Amino acid sequence: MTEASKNFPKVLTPPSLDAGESAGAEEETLSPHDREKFIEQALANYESALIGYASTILYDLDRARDVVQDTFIRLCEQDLSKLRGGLKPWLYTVCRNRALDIHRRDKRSQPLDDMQWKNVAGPDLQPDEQVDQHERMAELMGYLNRLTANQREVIILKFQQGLSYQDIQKVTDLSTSNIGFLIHTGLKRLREFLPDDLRA
Amino acid sequence: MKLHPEDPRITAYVLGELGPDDAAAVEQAVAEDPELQIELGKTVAARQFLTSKLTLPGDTLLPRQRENIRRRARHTRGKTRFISLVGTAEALKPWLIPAAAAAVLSVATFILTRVPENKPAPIVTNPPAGITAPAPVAPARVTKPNPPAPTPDLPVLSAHGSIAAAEFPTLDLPVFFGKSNLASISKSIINEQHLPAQNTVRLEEVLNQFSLRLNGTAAIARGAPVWHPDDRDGEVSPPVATLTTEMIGCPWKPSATLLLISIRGNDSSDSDVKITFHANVQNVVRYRLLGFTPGEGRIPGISLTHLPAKSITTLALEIEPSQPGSELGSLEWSTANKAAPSISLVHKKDAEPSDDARFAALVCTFAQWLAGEQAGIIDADIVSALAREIASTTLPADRADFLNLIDRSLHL
Repeated sequence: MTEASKNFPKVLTPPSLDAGESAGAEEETLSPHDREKFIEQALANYESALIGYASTILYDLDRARDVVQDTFIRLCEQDLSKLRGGLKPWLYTVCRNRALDIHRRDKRSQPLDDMQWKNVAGPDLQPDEQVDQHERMAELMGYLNRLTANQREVIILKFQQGLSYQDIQKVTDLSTSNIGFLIHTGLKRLREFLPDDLRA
Repeated sequence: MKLHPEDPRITAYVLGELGPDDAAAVEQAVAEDPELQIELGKTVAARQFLTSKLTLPGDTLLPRQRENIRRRARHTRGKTRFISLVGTAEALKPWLIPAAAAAVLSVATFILTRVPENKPAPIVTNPPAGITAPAPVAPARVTKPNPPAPTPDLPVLSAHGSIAAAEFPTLDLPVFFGKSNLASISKSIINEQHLPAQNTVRLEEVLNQFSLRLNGTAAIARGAPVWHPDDRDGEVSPPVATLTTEMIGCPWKPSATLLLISIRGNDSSDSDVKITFHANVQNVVRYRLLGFTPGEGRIPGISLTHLPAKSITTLALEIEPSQPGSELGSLEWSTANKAAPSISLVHKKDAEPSDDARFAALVCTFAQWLAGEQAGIIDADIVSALAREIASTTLPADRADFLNLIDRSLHL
């Protein structure tokens, strides 16, 4: 067999499965109905979070949606028994690689003002509240963009997406000690240039 | 433990990333040091700030996107019953086993009784002619574990990289080439039980081993009208050549589009056909003609314009658009120097690909995998997943043989 592609998670010693994310003991014992249920559950659990994550790379909600669609289509083609290392890091890895692939090819980098943060505030907020949240989000992303690419990425994965250091390692291929250092130095840097009303 | 305020373990402690022993040590160090307590407080505040501000409300997929995923889940579910790949323990339906044995026997017989038509050309120093765009810089190649040594009497191949559309917006396409490569690949895999040397794989020949009918836009070039005594209504214009296209999502690079082109010759006479791909530089970043990796010399049997009678040629281009759903360009072509209707290339992402197009995509993926191309992107998982999609009880024999070949290769 060929060695695993860099675009896909390397097969690591599987940690204990997250509750509810087991695909069954082996692919052969997962009935077609259960397989579809598994995909549906994965969609429900991770669809929005992955779109949010892809948006931080692509600055474009429509493209982020396309990337997330591609990610779940890849999931449908997977031997689910191989996801014992965790569905979550697998999804983030594939999503990240797809988004970076598009981002690298697209030489245009949209300034923050052009970010298409559609429905950023959700359907329940009033229009003025949506504008307010949009502005605050744009302001924060502006500060994050002043960090290094690695600092920015691990901070987003940790604080926005809630991944552990170990999951971030699987997604980014950085060591956990490196991740800890990046988050630590990134937070310090943010504290230096965040406005007084936002600083501790 | 003595901690410095710059120590990343303070942040790790606040984020709950330390084991119990390390966490206890940090707690004790902080309790004994006011400076550390200040630092800890700032880190806690930063965590609370980022956690509250970085939370995005739930953007969701569009209904059609969700339906695409569900459809793929159902499709994969249905197809996995028929052919087991990558060592899964699915039992084959009873009739598939003798059918597979018959397929192996027929391939072996084919190999033993046929001699490859094209011998590889010796290395010459002249650069290859014909393809107008210069060969791009070859990307780094990643070798598979224990690959067979390159066959020494074949020219060294240079992998095609992508062509920047802004620099080279047009590409003349070859209209005819050989088909014998699949036989030699089969011989390596089935008879000799090893993968073929990467420089012996010719994607364009493997693709053309199969008769493919594409389901997209078509154009017909007709010859000069001729009078026929049976035609009471007027003159008859026989078709000189037919050009058909279909575009599907590129399976190894979802952001790209795979353009398949089929050229069908006249039933009774050879034709002179010239086809040029014109990229829309506003919407296309790069493109790549799959296969046709020239060595240091010419590959015999490739013709840019001479299309033999009754021939069918299939080409594949990988196109990287700058935005989805856009017009990617056009195919301009002519027969006997007479312009034929051009074909505008607009990829409709929601269009369901034909079975032949999906099979062509599998062929392209498998051939690139064998050739070691796109080594960071195409792997055994992608090949087997695509093959599982194609697998069916209603496949023609040659395609069933091909799936069997893939299965064998994945086990080597």
